[in-house]
Amino acid sequence: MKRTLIVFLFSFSVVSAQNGGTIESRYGIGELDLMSTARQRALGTVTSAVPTASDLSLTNPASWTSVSELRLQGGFSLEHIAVSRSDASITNSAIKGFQFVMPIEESWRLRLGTALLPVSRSSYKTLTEGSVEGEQYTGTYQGSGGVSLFRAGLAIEPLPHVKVGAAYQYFFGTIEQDWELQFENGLYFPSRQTRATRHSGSGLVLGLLYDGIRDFALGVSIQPAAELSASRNLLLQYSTEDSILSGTSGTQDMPMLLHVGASWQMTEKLLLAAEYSMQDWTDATVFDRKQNVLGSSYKVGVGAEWYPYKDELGYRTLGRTAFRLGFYMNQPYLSVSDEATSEYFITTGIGFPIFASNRGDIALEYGWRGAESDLLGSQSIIRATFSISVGESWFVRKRD
Amino acid sequence: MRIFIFPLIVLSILLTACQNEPDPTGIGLIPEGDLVDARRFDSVRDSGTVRSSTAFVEVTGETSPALSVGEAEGYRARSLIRWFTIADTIGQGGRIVSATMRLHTAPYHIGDASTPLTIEVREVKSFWSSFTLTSDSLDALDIATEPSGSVTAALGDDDSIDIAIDTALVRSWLVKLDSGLFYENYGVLIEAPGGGGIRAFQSAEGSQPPELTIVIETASGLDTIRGGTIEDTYVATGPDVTGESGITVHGALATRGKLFFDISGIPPASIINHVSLSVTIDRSRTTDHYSGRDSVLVYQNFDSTTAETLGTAVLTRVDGDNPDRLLAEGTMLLRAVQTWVNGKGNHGLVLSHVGEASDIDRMTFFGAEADSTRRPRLVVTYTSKP
Repeated sequence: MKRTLIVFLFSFSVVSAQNGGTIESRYGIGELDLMSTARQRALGTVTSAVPTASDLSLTNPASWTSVSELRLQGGFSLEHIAVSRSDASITNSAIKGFQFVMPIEESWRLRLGTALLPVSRSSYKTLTEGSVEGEQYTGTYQGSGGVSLFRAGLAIEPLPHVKVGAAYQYFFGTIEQDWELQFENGLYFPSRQTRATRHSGSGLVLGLLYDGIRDFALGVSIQPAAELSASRNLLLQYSTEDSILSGTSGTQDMPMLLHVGASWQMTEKLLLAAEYSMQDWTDATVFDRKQNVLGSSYKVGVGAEWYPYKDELGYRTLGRTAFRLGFYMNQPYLSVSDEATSEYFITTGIGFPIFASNRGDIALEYGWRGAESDLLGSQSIIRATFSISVGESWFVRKRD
Repeated sequence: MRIFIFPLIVLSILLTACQNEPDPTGIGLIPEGDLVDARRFDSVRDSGTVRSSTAFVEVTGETSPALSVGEAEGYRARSLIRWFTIADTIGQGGRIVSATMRLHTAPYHIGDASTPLTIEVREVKSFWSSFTLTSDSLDALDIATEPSGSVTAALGDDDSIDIAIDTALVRSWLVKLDSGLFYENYGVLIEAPGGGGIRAFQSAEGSQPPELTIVIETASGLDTIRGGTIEDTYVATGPDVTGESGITVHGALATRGKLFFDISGIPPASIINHVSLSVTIDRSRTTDHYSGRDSVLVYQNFDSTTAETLGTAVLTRVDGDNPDRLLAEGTMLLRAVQTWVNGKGNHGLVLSHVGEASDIDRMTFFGAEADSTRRPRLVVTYTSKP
C-alpha cells in the first residue's frame, strides 16, 4: 500500500506533461472528461450502473455502497490523435484523477467518498505565419489548463437494493491562452500575451442505484446546473520588463449533467451494460455572453464484461481476470461552422488482480471523428487508459 | 514483480508525454476577435503630429581630447590650461633659464590651415574649473591684459608649437607649489585673436598632451623639470542656431535637437516589437571641420522643457539606400516608445552631436516642417491585442 501511494504521488509529476490536444479544446471550458475508469471505458464508457467492490464509478456516488473495504483508485491515459489535414499528430497523457472510498458503517452500507478529478482540459498549440511590410513572423496560439473538481460525499443503502449517494463538489482550475509573436529579424522584440481565466465554484452530484430486479441494475446520476465564479486577466509582457495586467470578473455556467444507465448480469460470467448521458451547453453563458459554438452534448455507450475462468478450479488468477468489449458514440458540446462533429469509439480492455484485493485495469480505444471536408479534416484516435484500485481492510471489524 | 509493473508504466508515460511541434492545423478555428498580428505605425503615412526644435545647452570641455583656439566664420575658441604638479619643489631656488609650453596639433581646423596663426598666452588670476567653465564664466575671469607669451606660425595636421612663457609667471607657479598652494596656480589662457582661423591642439586626454619644460640653472648646473598633472579645457562661442528651421545639433556651443511624435495612433498598452527613427541631413547647413562623423546620439527625453541627455543612447547609422539619411534603432528606442504607449508620459527624443564636447561642428536635419520624404520619421511595429 505504501509503495502504491508513493507511486500515486510520484505520478503527479506527469501532470506537468499534460499537453497536446486539438484546437477544439479552446472553446467552452475545454475538452470535457468522460469521467470513466479504465474498466468503464472498456465497457463503452458505461459508468453509472456497473458497480463492483473494486471499481468506483466517477459519476454515480450511489455505487460507493458496493465497496467493502477502504479503496483508493486512480488512473491515467495516453492518447494519440492523427489529423488528416496535417502531417503532424498529437500525443498526450493525462492523469484521470483519484478516488477514495471508506466504509463507515455496515448495516446501512454507509460509505464516505472523496475524489479529485479532472473535469475538462484545454490543450492545444497551433501556429500561423504572417508578415508586416516584409518582416516575417510566426504567431503561436497555445492553450493549457483546465477545470478540476474536488468531491466529498456519502453513500448509503436505506432500503434493500436501493442505494443513494450525494456529494459536494468544488470546481477549480485555470485555463490559459497564450499568444506569442516571434519575428525572423532578431532585432524585433517578441511579444507574449496571456489570458488566464480562473474558475471556482460549488456544485452537487446525486446518484441512485437500484439492483432489486434480479440480475438487473439501474443507475441514475445528476449534477444540477452550477454557476462558477470566473476571473479573467490579460497579461502583456513588455521589453521594459514590466507587465500590464487587466482583468474582469464574471461567471461560467456549468449545465446540468445527467447519466442514466443499466446493466444486466446475463450469466455468472457475462455482464452487459448500456448508458445514456447528456449535458446541454446551448444556453450556457461565459462572462454574460453565450458562446455560439457550444451546443448540446450527449453520449450513448454499450459494453460487455466477461470472466471466462470465473470460479473454475485451477485458475486462481485467470479466474479473476475479466475481458471487456464496448462501443460508444459521443457528441461533444462544440459545433464549429454550425456543424457538430460526432466521435465513435470501439473499446476493449482487461481487468486483472494484482495481489490481495488490488486490481488493475487497462482499456484500449480506437475512435474516429470528422470528415475530410471539416476544418480539421478527419481524425483517428487511439487511447489507452490505465487504472489501479487498491483495497485495504482498515477500520473494518473482522468477524471471528 | 507485479508491484513494479505500475511504476514502470508511469515512467514510460513520463518519457512519452511529449510536446509535438505545432503546425497551422486548426488555425481557422481561432475566433476572429482572438487573432493577433503585427501592425505598423508610420508617423509619415499615418499623418501623426511631429514637432521638432533646437535647444541650446551649456556643455563643458573637460573631457574633450582637443583644445581649440582661434576665431573664424563667426566662431571663437579659447583654451585654459594649468599644471597642478611640476616635477620639483624648487620654489625660489635656481635661475629659470627658459620656460616653454609645447602644444601638439590635432587634425582639425576652421579656416585656411596654411594661414599663420598668432597664439597668445595670458595669465589667469582667478579660480576656474574645467567641470564648470562656460563662456559666461570665462568672461568673468580675471585675466592679465598683457600676454605672458606668444608665437606666430603656420601649422600642419601633425605638428607642434612651442610658446615661450614669461619666467616670472613660471616662478610664481613654482613658489606656490613649494608652499602647498597649488590650488592658487590658475594657469594660462590660450587664444588666437584676429580671425586667422581656429586650430585644435591635443589636450591632456589626447595621445600627445601639452608639455611644460622649465630649464633651471642651479649650483650643480642646468636642470630640466617638466610639468605633471594637467587640467585643461576650452570654451567656444558661435552663432545662435536655435531659431533656424530644422534640427541642429552643434558640438562645443552646444545645441541639441528635440523631437516629438504623437503616437496616439497606436492602441494603448500594445506590445512594441520594433522602433526605427530616421532623420535626413541638410548638407547645406552641415559642417565637418572636425571628426565629421555622420552619426548622432539619440536619447529618450524625460522632460519636454529641457534637452537633458539621460540614460542610454542609441547611435545612428547611415541608411545604405540614402547617405543623407540616418537611422536609429535599438533597445532604448523600443523602451522609450513602450513607455509612451503605456501612458507613462511622452516627452519625445533628444538628439546630440557625437562630438558634443570637442567638435566645433554642426549637423542640421530637416525638421517637422519639411516634406514627407525628408521630415523625421518614426516607424513602430507593434502587436495587436486579442
